[in-house]
Amino acid sequence: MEILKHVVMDHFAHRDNWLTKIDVRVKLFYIGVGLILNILSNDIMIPLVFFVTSLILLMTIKVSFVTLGIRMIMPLLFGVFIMLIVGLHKGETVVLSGSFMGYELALRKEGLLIGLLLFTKVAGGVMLLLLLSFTTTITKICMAACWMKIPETLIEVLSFVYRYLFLLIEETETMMSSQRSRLGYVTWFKTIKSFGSLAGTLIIRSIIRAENAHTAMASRGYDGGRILTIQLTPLVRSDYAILLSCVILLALFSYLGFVCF
Amino acid sequence: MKRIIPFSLILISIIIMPNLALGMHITEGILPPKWAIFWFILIMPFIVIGTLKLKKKKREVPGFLPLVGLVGAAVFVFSCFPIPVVGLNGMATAHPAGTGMSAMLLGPFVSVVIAGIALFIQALFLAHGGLTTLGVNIFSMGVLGSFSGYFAFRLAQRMGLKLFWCGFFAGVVSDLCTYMGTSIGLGLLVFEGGESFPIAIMHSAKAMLEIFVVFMATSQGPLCIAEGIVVGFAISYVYKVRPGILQNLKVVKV
Repeated sequence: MEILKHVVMDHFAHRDNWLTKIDVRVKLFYIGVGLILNILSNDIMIPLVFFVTSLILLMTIKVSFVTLGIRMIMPLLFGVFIMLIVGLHKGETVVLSGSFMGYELALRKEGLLIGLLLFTKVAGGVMLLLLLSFTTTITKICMAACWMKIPETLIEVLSFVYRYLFLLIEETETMMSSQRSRLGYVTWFKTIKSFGSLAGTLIIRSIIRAENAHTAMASRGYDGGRILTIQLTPLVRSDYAILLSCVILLALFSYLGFVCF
Repeated sequence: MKRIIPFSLILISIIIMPNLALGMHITEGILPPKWAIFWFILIMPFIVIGTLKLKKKKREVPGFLPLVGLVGAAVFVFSCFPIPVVGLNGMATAHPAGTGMSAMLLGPFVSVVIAGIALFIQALFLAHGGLTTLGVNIFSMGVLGSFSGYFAFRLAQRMGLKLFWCGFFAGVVSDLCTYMGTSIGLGLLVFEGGESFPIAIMHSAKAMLEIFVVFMATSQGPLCIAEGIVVGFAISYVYKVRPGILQNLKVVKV
């Protein structure tokens, strides 16, 4: 369950710093436009600029390289995989060739260059996402989604999933430890069988908990309506100033990426 | 010899990469805008129908949303189980898709919504997948995974198979279809508008096949079977301990 420990890393978003204080709508605007520019770029310049600026911003709130590295490693490896796949299928100039089990494979220069662009887009895009996740809680994202008129039902389900995820992770880890102490993971088949009963128990517990949660919520007045009790405050002067800075910054990046290069 | 060494390294990388990269989610930045928009348009009807079904059910059964949220969270945790890959003697682990399980319990349309929410959380808080690639990931994991798993389960039930085997087939088929969806999404990256349509399709199909073979030949082939067995055991366990749950969710007949 090592992978799930990263989910708990949203504690960064609960910290009090200048990035977490920025209004969620302003951040979503910057990240949204940034992601669009990132995939629109035909050159590695824009993705690299997003990568570096996001990295610097995260450094200012003392997010360590190790923390970022753990998050970045999988997407970057995926980027390398894609670079190789595109390198094998696009272009004319062969830089490396050979056969594998009778199957002819050739890496081409043009394909590898396109792959490199994709790799930088992965780096830039993921860093932008990390900038959002390290500075914004899911509750604020739900509030922004409410403001953007996303269907309430979806926001409710998202809130429920996120709210109970941590409880279920904890319960799963406790059950896994118990199974391990009873030699539940000594062979492959035993492992699979243990995972089966673990998944079954998880379903049973989640359904019982859902019934209890609904009873408790109904007693407090829940009638199937919205569960978010906090609402976003109107944007103030400082938010508009940051929004304007974001627009200028994004325009500058676009100019650098699309016009100069 | 000079060429063989780097080439071998590349091949090893190709084989190892999907394990490390949790190949079922296409990561942020990979898709060009046209494909990102295409996949979003493709999944939109499923999300809309799923949301409408949720709304309708919420009106009928007031406790349905907490149930969907909790089962969604349970399936999310299930999808993070580190299942050891049998051929590698526990050196590598892979993660199940989980959509077969949620489709069996909540129906395919609601399962698409659950998958979308799970993918959104994963994109933000695990850096797996992404926001611009959410469309293709929902298509492969949500749409293909849920519908194939659901229909495999129902078909197996109609054939009169035991509950374990029904769950097994749902798990195997949904996992296979999820990877097929990811391979389609990635294979289409080599589709070039400049080429004639049949040639472009042929190039894409070749890439899809290669990616699918890489996925299946490494961890995901054995994982399909493992996920099937886990889902089979899980559903039989629930039926043995609390049959009422499956009856209430209309997974089995009373």
